[in-house]
Amino acid sequence: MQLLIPRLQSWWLLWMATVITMAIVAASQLFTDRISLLLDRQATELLAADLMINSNHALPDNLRQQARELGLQTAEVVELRTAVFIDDEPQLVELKAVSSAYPLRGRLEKKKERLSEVITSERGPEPGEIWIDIKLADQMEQALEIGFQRLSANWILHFEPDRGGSLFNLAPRIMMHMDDLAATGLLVEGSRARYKLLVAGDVAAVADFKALIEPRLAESEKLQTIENARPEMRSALERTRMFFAMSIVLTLVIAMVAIAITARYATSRESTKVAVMRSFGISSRRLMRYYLMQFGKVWLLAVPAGLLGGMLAQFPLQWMLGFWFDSRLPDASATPYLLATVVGFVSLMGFSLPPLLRLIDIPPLQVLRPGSRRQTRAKFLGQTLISLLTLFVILLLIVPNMQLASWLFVAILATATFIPLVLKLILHGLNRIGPSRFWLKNYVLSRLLSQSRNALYVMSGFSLTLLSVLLISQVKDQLLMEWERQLPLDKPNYFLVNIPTQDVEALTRFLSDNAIPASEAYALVRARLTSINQQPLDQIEFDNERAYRMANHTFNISYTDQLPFENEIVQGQWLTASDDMQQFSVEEGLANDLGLGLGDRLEFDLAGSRFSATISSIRSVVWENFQPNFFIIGTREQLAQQPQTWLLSTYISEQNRPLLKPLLQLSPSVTLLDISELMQRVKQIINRASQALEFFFVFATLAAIIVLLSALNSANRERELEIALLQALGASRQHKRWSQVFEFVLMGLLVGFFAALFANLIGSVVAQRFFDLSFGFVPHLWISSIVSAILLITLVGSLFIYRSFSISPIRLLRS
Amino acid sequence: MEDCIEVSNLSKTVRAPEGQLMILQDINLKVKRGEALVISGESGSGKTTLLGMMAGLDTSDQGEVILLGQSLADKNEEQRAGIRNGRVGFVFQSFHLVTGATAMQNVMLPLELSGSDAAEQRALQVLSEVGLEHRLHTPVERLSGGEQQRVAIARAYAVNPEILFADEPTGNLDSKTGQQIIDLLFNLRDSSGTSLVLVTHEQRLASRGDRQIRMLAGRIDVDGSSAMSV
Repeated sequence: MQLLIPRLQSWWLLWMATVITMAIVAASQLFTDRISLLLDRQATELLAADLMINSNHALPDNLRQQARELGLQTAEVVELRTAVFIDDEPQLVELKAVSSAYPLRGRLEKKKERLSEVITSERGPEPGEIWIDIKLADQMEQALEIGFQRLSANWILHFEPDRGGSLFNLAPRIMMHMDDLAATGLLVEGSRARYKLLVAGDVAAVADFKALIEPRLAESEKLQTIENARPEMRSALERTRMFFAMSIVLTLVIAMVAIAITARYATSRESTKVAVMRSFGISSRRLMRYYLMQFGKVWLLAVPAGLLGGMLAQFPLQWMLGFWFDSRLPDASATPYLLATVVGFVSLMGFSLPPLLRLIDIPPLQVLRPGSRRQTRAKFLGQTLISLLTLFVILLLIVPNMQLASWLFVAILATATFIPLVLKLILHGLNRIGPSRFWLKNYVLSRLLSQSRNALYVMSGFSLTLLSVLLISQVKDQLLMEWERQLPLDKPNYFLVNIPTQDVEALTRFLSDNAIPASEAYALVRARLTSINQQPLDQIEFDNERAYRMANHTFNISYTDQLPFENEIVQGQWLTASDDMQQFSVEEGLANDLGLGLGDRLEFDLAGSRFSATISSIRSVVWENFQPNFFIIGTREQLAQQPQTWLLSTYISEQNRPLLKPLLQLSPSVTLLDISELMQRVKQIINRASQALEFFFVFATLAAIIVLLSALNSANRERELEIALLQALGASRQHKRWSQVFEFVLMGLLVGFFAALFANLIGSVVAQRFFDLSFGFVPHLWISSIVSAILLITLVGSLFIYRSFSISPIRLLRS
Repeated sequence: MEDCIEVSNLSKTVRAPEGQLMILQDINLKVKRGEALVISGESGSGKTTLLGMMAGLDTSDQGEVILLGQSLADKNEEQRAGIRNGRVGFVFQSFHLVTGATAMQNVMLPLELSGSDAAEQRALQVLSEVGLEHRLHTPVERLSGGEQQRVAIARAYAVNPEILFADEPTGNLDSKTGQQIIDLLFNLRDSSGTSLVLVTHEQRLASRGDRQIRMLAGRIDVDGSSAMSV
């Protein structure tokens, strides 16, 4: 056991910093792993499963069999568009028959009447039950003829998790149990039904199942996963993941600062020992081996504690998130522990190596003349390069996005270089201004400028730490606020779709007469993409399943002269900039997925008639704004003559709800689509992301306090000698206290200033670059940064050095 | 002549791995105003401990120290610092200068702590006396060992102390520089009339004082005039 104890002075501090780093990595990875799984699961609720196989024919039994063999749950769904008779009037509906296990993910919501309380249900209709869409709510009491069956509705279907497809082409839903479907006689040879097999269960088993069946699926059998989630949800989830990635990196930066500071401290305390050994003729290679072994021991001792710390952090997490998320967190994999072990090793060795190289480079002369060492520029650059490489490797290990990793690397590097330089300039400047008296201002400044104190290094480290904490807390709040601002309460909550051309004017007039806010009416031309640059679609190899699905879905193409609300041209020019009548404007995400660019020619098929145009612009779209958004927009000249329906979005408040009936009476074929549920779910994701990020804030703050403590500890011996000297020179208790308090306040002021400056700058860049959000000057960020830095450093610092005031000045004689 | 330090029946015990260790035992001595007392002895003989207790930097287990007419026995650290303030100077083996500050600033520190209004002029004067008028604004860490000890001596003399305690002031210096520092210390003592208590393990320096005490295992082995000891 004795052999395992590192022979390094103050090794326990380095050990603690490594333990914290590993605990942060393990906990945050376990955390993100689980949040990610949870978010995926929430997104999978859009499928009502983890995975879905979709076909136009009944799916073979062996698929079900294989899923069950892997311990997975299955459910079945059959969907078909059919006409039902309500009071002898035909009504086109989307009929959905579900097996008893449906839904495997998410919940259904039902209610008895239009305005009655919503009841959550784990399962779909029982045999003999019929649930109908809110649009059919008025028919609740009437008999419905579905095929050969005559049934009456039991519930209004308020929400179904997997209401897929485009928002704009949904006929009213009728849901029934699978056992009742056969009796309707609707499923006959040639029926245009969709057969779905839903699968859910353990993450690994789902992956195994996917890998097993994917190569064997027939062409008409399509595998559907979360990748095909709605754009609104996908965008929300991607932003959330980005927030997490950023928070982890920033928390980790704090932990790495702690390692760098403690490694420097531990090695500096070895300098006399090394100088003596060097004077005895011990080679630097042997010394290097010796110290690497000591650092190796520190790592070995840190592994169990760090992993245990990371694991224990799960319990409060489980408790907090279990409460918030109202669901059990999925089991995490072993990867976070492995990653924590690797990151612990890389950061300990990487950040210890530069001070270690400096240490073993000590000339034997140091024994006789302390401070006689001079380091060459080449060696300094070499050592700096090692630290940078370490930082980059860790970023690559942690951040999944290479672009974000590189950007963070540059940002950290610039900050870490800039802060000490400017700090030094400011301290020198302050030293020159004001009266020439030494006590108190200049005395404190000399302490902060003293090389032996490493105060500049410590202040820069702590600025970086606080900057990270600020970015996680304040910037997060601002970004989330801005994100949420994009979803104000009076955003549209209804889409009116399937509006015949002749009814558009009457409907818009009705809405404006009743002061109901509504968007412009957009035409919808439903067409399928047939070729890109004259190459038929079936001959094009797409990179991924999502691109394939996107290319093959039915597009709702619109035309308008005005660039729609919150759309921005990112490439090319808007349609009206040219007289060319054959132009398309394509949404950025679709263009990326299908590899489309300006000048590419797209051809569409609409019931046998074909039309084509070239892409003249690429647009960005804010999907979460719940305005009518389109993947493709063409010119009026080209599309106005095509068969079309219209849609518009509107905000109908609770008090305007009675107007819905007369509105629908104006155009009976119009479908009213309530999207407030979908909006609610996106808002829920934002809220959950915000709460989860609070947890990182706690982590980051704890790590920041450890940085502060290790920084204080690294200068403690010097500080004690200074206090003892003041005491020997006859300074009063007040003198001693003021010197320390003033120093802490000044440090806090400078640290707080720099942290706020960089948090604001980096926040703005990150907001624009990665989150498509704006982030300006935030005064309260500056105030909270400066005040918290002063309070934290002064309080923790004063508590930490409290005992130093009673240290006997006899130490001066003994040192 | 009046005594500025009076030590009676002073003993000090410390805890050691082998049990309680008595490092000072029944010390009695007096230092007169203006007297230069040299305390010598082997390493571990207790000479630095005795200096620390005479200066009120440490407390005793038994006995009493009267410094500048005030007993230190019932005084806490704050009160002892009050007695030293402006009346006692120190020169340490490791210099203990404020790094990051200039020679001037180091010398101004005790003056300003004692409330002097003319700290700058006095620092300038005393630094000139120790021969550092050309290094006034140099940060102390850029000075040589000998120069740093000169700054420390200037700092000690700046407040016109009644007593100056010097602990191995040449311990970190080569013999030539050490000799210069000792010359400087005694010259300043001669011109200012300050009492000097100097601790050294170098027997040859003992002859420079008015009186020498040789310590052996925590006791005063020899107490006599320097002429006698020579």
